[in-house]
Amino acid sequence: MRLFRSEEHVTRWSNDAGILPGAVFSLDALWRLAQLWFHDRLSPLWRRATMDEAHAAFEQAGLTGGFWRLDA
Amino acid sequence: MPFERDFDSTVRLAIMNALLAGRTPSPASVAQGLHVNADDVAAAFDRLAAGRAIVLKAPTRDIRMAAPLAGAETDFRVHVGDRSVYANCIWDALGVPAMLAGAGRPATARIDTQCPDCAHPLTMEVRDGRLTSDPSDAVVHFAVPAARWWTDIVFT
Repeated sequence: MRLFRSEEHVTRWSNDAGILPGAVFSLDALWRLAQLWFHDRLSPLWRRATMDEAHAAFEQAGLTGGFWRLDA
Repeated sequence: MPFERDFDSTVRLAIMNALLAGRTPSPASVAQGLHVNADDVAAAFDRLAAGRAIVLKAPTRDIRMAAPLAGAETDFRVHVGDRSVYANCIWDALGVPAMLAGAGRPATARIDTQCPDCAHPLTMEVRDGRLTSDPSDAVVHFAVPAARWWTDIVFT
């Protein structure tokens, strides 16, 4: 889960490392997800998200498709 | 067990607050801070790890991850106030100001990392809940699909 200078850099790095390209998306989407995912992490009531809650957070952040399914 | 859940939550928060303060928490240091038995805290570390709330450096009880925070230096440095902490990945790096804001704490942050391809420095800033980055068109890459994140969480 890294940040790259541009999509071109992702492609070159993936090719060099022999890694299949995964998901490439915007920092704005990840910021939305980070807020949904971590906003309550310092609460004593925090617990791990259920699979359904995780899927809902991905969808709310605009991250959809098979890559984001925990049960795929 | 409600008592164990409450105790584990207290231990987890002690771990998080130690990392936020720039300290490396151990069962002994957490036990000392909470005025409880170190063996009980060690057992809580194990339960938290089993429940994936933290990741330990097996076979020790050294903290590798207490997401979004890292237990050691990484490529994701987050500056908050006059302190720096480390995150495990770019998602977690953004998670630090998100977590602080959610707790009502000061959450203005600067995040420093670098492009894995060319080592160019990449900087983000979170201020008043808004994220900016330099360069502005930097992109996020997740190599591993969600279903396999926990196969090797350190690589992920």
